[in-house]
Amino acid sequence: MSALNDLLLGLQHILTPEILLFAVLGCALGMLTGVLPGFGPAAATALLLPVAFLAGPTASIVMMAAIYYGSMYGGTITSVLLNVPGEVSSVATALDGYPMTKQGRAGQALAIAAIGSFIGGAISIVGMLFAAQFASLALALTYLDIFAFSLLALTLVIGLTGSSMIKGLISASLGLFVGMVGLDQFTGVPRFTGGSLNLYDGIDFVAVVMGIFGLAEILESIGDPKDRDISSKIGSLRLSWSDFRSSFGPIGRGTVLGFFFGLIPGSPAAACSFTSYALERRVSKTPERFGKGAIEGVAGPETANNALGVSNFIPLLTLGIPSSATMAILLGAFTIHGLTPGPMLFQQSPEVAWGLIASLLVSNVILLAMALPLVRVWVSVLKIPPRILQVITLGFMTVGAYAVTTSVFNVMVMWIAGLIGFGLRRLKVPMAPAALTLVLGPMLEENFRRALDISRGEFSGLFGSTAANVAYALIATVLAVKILGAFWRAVQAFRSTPSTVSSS
Amino acid sequence: MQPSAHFPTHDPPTDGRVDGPPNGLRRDLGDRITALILLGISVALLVTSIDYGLFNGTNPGPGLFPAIVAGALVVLSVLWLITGAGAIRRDGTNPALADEDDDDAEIDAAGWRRIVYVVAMTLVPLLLLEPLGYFVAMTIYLTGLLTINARIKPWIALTVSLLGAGVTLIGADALGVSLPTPLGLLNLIGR
Repeated sequence: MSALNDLLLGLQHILTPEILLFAVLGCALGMLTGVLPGFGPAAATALLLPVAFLAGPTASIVMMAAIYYGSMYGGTITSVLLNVPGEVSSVATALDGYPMTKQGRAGQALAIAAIGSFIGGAISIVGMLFAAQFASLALALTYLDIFAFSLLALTLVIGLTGSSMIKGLISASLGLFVGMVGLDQFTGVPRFTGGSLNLYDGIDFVAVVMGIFGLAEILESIGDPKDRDISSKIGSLRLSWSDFRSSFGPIGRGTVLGFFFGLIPGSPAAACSFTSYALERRVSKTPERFGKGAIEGVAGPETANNALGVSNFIPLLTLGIPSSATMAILLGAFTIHGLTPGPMLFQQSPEVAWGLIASLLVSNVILLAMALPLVRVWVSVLKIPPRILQVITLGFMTVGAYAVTTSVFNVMVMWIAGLIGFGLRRLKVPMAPAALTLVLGPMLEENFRRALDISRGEFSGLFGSTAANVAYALIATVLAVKILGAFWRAVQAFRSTPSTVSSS
Repeated sequence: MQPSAHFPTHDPPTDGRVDGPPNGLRRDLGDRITALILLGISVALLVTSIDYGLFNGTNPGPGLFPAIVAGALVVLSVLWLITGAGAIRRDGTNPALADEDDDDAEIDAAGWRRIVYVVAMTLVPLLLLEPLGYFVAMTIYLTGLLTINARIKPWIALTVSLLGAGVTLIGADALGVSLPTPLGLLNLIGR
């Protein structure tokens, strides 16, 4: 009952006209950004992060969560209508969503995606209420434990991103360095500032994430030679009883799958939605329909994706550890207002913590209410030529980066980060680890140094707690699996090369 | 020669498949050059970190954590330098490109020209925002982008930019966001 009371408290706190307006605005802005081809939740939330400065802590956090929700659905719209997934997790949706569009059933694909997302999100919120009760247990963690768990989260993110381990680690190291620029929090020594006073307070997180996600994405689309073919044929949004009946199972299985996937820091949303897709295909009596417009192929992955989106908040709220790039950006929104997500948040600012959970519920309802009526509006947005959309977005980004610190220096930081992000992206260096370390870095260093302080500089002191040692063991396991996997692939590639050459 | 299972057709590179070895080799070279630059930067970072001091007595100093990260970066850069973009198979499939993040299209010469132009245009807000103020600098910036990137007639681009800059200025003012005023220009004229 306590969780329910807390949720009611949260609802009471956010059900004000002002905060509801921010939630509606957030959903709309998120969807608007999400429908821009190529823009996933990370890029969308990064792009709109300056908006977090406009209101108080609760309103800002609620708005950012709504932007996150909206952008996820925005990605679904482009997946279904254009076969252009806003992010990798929407690729599975496109497999059957786009064939449905070609059959004139885009409206039904979008409708089931919205309904599945709503159910998956709502059930995950119930799970989240339960998990939040255990947040107080995390208060017993020492500096050492927090250091070890942060390191574990980071390793999981790098290990599970699916990209090269070396490149993932390079990305993480670069993020750590950017986070170290500025005055040392313990001694006040300026580090890596090159004598520039602009850097004494550190490099602005908002400008960097806007650059590496938003700007890099725009530069990519500016270079893209392809023109999009936008179909305006949505068809009927009404689902038949047969559509509903086919979707019950996928929605239920997708919810469970997504919720548990989201609890694992770094677990890729793409893996979750593809697992859901594969599962639906496996359990289907007519698997041959998949890939040709099966509604189950949209319902399952979309539900799983949204359930994961909600349960991703659990590691952030209970341990203060972001489990994805988008969560790292949302963590940035917290820090803008001087809040630190984690177990203390429930004690120090319960209205924000429970307000956020309640806002997920409210955003879920708002999204369901707004998604379908506004589909035709988003389609008309998509009809604006991409080259014009790019210019509009660049203009808004310039204003946003400037407004954060009212300094042109921040615009420059955004562009430098964007160019570096774009270059690294071309080289297939993942940017999610960098975003994570950018926010986790200062926490990682602080806890590392405090733990060493306690052990009087002895590195053996870092192994002085059972919880930390368990985390280290898990890190070693993840690294071993990743290295052995890479080794195995290299052996396989070596074996297959001679046969390829001889046959050619 | 007929396309076989081992040789690529000219389909769009959507699944990690590239247009044959030259493309892959170019990517590989890019990887190695970047790795070399990164190696230089990480060595410089390591030296700088050590200069900050690794320990203050028995307590960790401001340079300890950066030195550990820089040391790791040195090792990683060397590994990247050795491995490049990963093994490029003869069938043109590069495992390093076949990961789930690989949804970027190849950029042609015209695409690169557009990118260079847009990046160069960024100098307008960077250099003019404070001296000329938001309205003038943003109008010039947007007009330039709309004319070249979006291929809109200059007079239409100028009109749209004037409107866009004006509306955002009013919107920002309503939201209490402070945007640069042309104080620099006024000071200059005053002098």
